[in-house]
Amino acid sequence: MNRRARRLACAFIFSLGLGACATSPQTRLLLDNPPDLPALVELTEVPFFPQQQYHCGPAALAGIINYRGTAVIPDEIARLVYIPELKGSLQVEIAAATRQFDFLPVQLDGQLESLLRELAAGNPIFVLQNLAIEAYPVWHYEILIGYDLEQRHMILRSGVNRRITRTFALFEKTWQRAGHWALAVVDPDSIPATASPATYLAAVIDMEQVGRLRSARRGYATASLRWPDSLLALSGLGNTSYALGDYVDAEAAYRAALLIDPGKAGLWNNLAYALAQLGRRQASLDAIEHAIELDTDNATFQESRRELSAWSF
Amino acid sequence: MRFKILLRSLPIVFAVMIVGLPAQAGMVGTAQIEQAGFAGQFVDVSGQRDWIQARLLQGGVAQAEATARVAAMTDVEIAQIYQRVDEAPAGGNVLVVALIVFLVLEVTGVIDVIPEQ
Repeated sequence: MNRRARRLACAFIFSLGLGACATSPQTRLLLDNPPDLPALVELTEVPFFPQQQYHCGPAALAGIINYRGTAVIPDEIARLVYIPELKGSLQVEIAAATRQFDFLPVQLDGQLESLLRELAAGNPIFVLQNLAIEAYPVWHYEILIGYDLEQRHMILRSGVNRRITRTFALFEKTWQRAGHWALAVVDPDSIPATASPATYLAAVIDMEQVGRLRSARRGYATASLRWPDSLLALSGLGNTSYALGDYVDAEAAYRAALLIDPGKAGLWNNLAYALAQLGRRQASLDAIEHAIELDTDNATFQESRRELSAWSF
Repeated sequence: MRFKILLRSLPIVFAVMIVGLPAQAGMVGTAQIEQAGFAGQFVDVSGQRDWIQARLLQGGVAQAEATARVAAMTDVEIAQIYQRVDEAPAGGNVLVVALIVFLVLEVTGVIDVIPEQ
C-alpha cells in the first residue's frame, strides 16, 4: 500500500472509530445497568440449518419452527418467502409464513435488553441485520440463541455458521441499521416475555385476518387470561368463537367484554348475532337496539336490525 | 422488468387503514370494535393484492405459490408491501460482498459482513 493510500485509510478508520463510540447507546446502557438476568444463556437445542446462497430467511425460520416442535425444512419455507429476483425474503412474508405453521410472529420493542429477556425466557429470536452500511445494505436474517454478559456478546445461528458471536456493540449497530426488527415466534398458548398486550394482540389479529381461526382463538384466550381487562382480547375471543360456530362461547366473551365497557356498540351488535344463532330472538333484538341507541347514525347497526328482524328462528 | 423499477413508478397510496372485514356480513370485526364510527372506513386492497401477486410471478415465484402467498398476508401487510417494497429489506446475500471499504469497516468493527467460522 502506498503512503497516500495508507494515510487515507487511517483517516477513514479514525473517523469511523469516533462514530462507532457513539452508535451503541443501548449497549452502554445495558452494561452500565446490568439487568437482573442470568449472566450466560445459550439455547443450544435450537436446530441449525446451514443456508444455501441467499436463503438466510428460510434457514433461520426453519430453525425456529423446528425448535417450536413442527418439523419443516428450509426448502419448504423458501416456497413461502423466497423471491428469486430480489435474492431474498421480505419481512412481511417471514411473518406470514410463520402464521402458516400456526405460530405467532410477535414483534419485539426494539430494546436490546428485551432480546436478552426473551432469550432468558427460552425464546430464540428472529432478527434482521444490516451487516454493512445504510447506503449499501447487506440484509441478513439470523437467529439469536443466546448472550454472554461477561463476554459482552450475542450468540447466533447465522448463514452457514452453526454458532457465531457478535459483540453487543456491533450487534446493536447492525441491528439498528435494520430498524431494530426482531420477532419472537411462539405457540398461541404462550406470550413472549416482553410482549405488551398491543404487540401480542396485533399478531393474533393478523392470525384471525388470514383465517387461521383456531390458532387466533387460542391466542385471544391466552391474552384474556394474562390481561383480563383487555377488551380487544375478549372481542377477538368472541369473534373467533362466533366464526367457528361456537355461539355459547361467543356470547360469554361478548358479555365479559361488555362488563369492561358497556358503551361499545359493536359488541352489542355482535352479541345480537350470537344470540340470534342461539335462537334467542327477543334478547337478540334487545341487543341490537342497544347498539343503535349507542351509535344511532351507524348504517351497519341499522342493517343488522333489518337482518335480525327477518331472522328465521 | 426489474421489481424495484416497476414499483418505484407507482404512486404511493395514502389511506387510513382500518382493515379486516368481518367474516360475516353484519358482524363487526375485532379491530373495529374499539373504534367508534367505523362504518365506511374499510379500505379495499384487493387491487393491491392482485398487483403484488403479479409482481411475485414476475419476480420468479411459481403461480400456485404466488396465489397462496398473497392470500397469507393481511390487508395491512399488503398495503405495506404495495407502498414500499422497493425499500423493503430482503435478507439474502452475505456471501459475495468483498469491497475494500467493507474490509476496512469490518476491521474497525463497524460492520460484520465476514462471518466467523
